[in-house]
Amino acid sequence: MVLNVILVLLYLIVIFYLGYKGWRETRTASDYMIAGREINPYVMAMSYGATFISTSAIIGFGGAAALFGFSVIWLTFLNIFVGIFIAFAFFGKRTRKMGRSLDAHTFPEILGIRYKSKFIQGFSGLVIFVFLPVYAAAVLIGISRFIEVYLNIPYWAGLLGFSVILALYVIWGGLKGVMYTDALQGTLMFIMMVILVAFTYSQLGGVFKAHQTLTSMANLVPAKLKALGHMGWTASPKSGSPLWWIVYSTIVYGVGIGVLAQPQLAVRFMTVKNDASLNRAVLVGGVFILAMTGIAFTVGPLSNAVFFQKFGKISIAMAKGNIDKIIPIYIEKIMPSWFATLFLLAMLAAAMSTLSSQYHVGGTSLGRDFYEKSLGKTGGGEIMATRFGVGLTILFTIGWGLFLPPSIIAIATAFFFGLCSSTFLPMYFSALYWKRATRAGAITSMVGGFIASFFWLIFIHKKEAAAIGLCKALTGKVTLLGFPWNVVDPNVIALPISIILMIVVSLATSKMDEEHLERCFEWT
Amino acid sequence: MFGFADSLTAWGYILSILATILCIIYGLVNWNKGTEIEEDYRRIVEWEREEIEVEERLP
Repeated sequence: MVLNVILVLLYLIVIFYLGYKGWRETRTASDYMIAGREINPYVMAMSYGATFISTSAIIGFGGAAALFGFSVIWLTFLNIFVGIFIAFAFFGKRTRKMGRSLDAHTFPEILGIRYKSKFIQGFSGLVIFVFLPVYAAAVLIGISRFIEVYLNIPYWAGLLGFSVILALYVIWGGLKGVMYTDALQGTLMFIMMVILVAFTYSQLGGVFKAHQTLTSMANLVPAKLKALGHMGWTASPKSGSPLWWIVYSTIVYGVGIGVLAQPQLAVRFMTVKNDASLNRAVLVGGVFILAMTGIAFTVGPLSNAVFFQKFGKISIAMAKGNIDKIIPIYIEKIMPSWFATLFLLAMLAAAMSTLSSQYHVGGTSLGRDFYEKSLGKTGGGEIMATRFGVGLTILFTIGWGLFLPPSIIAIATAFFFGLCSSTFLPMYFSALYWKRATRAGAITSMVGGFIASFFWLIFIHKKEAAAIGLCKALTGKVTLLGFPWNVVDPNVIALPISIILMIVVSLATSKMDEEHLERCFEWT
Repeated sequence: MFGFADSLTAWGYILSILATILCIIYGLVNWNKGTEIEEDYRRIVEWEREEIEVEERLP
């Protein structure tokens, strides 16, 4: 135990030191800006990866995979193909160039200038500022559940303790020049995940044998899950069943596509020096994501077989019904104790890197996008507004972390990813690739996608509609539509609506002026 | 297939690995493509100056 505490403290000292060093270097870099900012592609890709993948993916979605089975691995395919390949090779290159030609520094800003609309920048900034804490909370819950299980302290104490350390890290300069600490953290995460999968497969006698063992356990699926469409941990859920919709519409499609319109990831592209860095980062990023979600979604389902062999119970029974605790308990009960300590460090790293980028984006969304650019206020207030924004994002994140119920990480993450894709994706894609896109098209697509998403969430999607209760209060019914609509993810409806609005309204309004378009596409 | 109960799940597993291989090949083939910067140097410097200003505002 003493050794564990010393290891954790040593690790925190190194991270704090690197954060401080990065901050110092950022300050002095202003003299020779370009040279000071040449980011190595390994650092860029690992930093992107460490921001993209966090405790939410490993602990939350790993736990969901332990419950739902291997079908969740389809999300890994999309994480790599869409989240890395398409994101870097297509979205990344154009975002970088357009960011430079329009002098844009945040995700809402590139959209706002491209469509010549302060409203777009302000609205996007506000949506991000208000809803990002829900996703940040998913990350915070992930690490707090791990601390709860591993250090055997109450959940709220772990959550508050970690938040204090993170706040100190942020004040120390952690938000500036985070790329190097991210890269170190990403490397640590990578090594730990590889050990985790190798150990798990070896426990079960190899890759095929492990899968076969799990296949033969299909009769152990709890009756409640069977009724929802669960066909065993190595099978896809029954077509059209509630579980099928949860796995494929919410988890695979909602999160898999939503990554393209994530503000904290899109800003990463703008700081890259040239296209070669992005090309090279595709290689590093692809391997990294396979090692993160690929391994989490493999070890998750396999944990059922390992737990059953050792304790005669499946994973969800081991975690007493809380999906978010499955991976932490697996690490604690099954893996050697040295591994558990290092894994805790890797998870601390994962949470710190993602949360600091989220706080960064939360602050700039309120300070720069909403307050300064959209409301047009300058004269020093924007600095206060940015800092105030960071502070509020931290507080809201802690609030959601304490308020949200158990088994929530995957749902909260999917909510934010889905919301971003239906609100921003059609407009963002058109900004980069469609010259005929107009301001009116972008605004209707953004507002329409946002409203459609929320309408579905409050009035149709049973899980949230029942929890919020507004539909019942207004209409007397829990949801306006019955099965299968009440299990279809909001994004399945809202994203197509947003795309149609973007196309139809753009074509119905006159093209943006040539001079402006020339400036936007100057280097693309 | 591969010990899985159905082929759809097995394909998810296989495609994840194939997508990673695609990323590796793409990265290697295009390793040196796009090293030159076609943008105006002065505008990049301007962009960098503004970016540092944005970062300076953070706590």
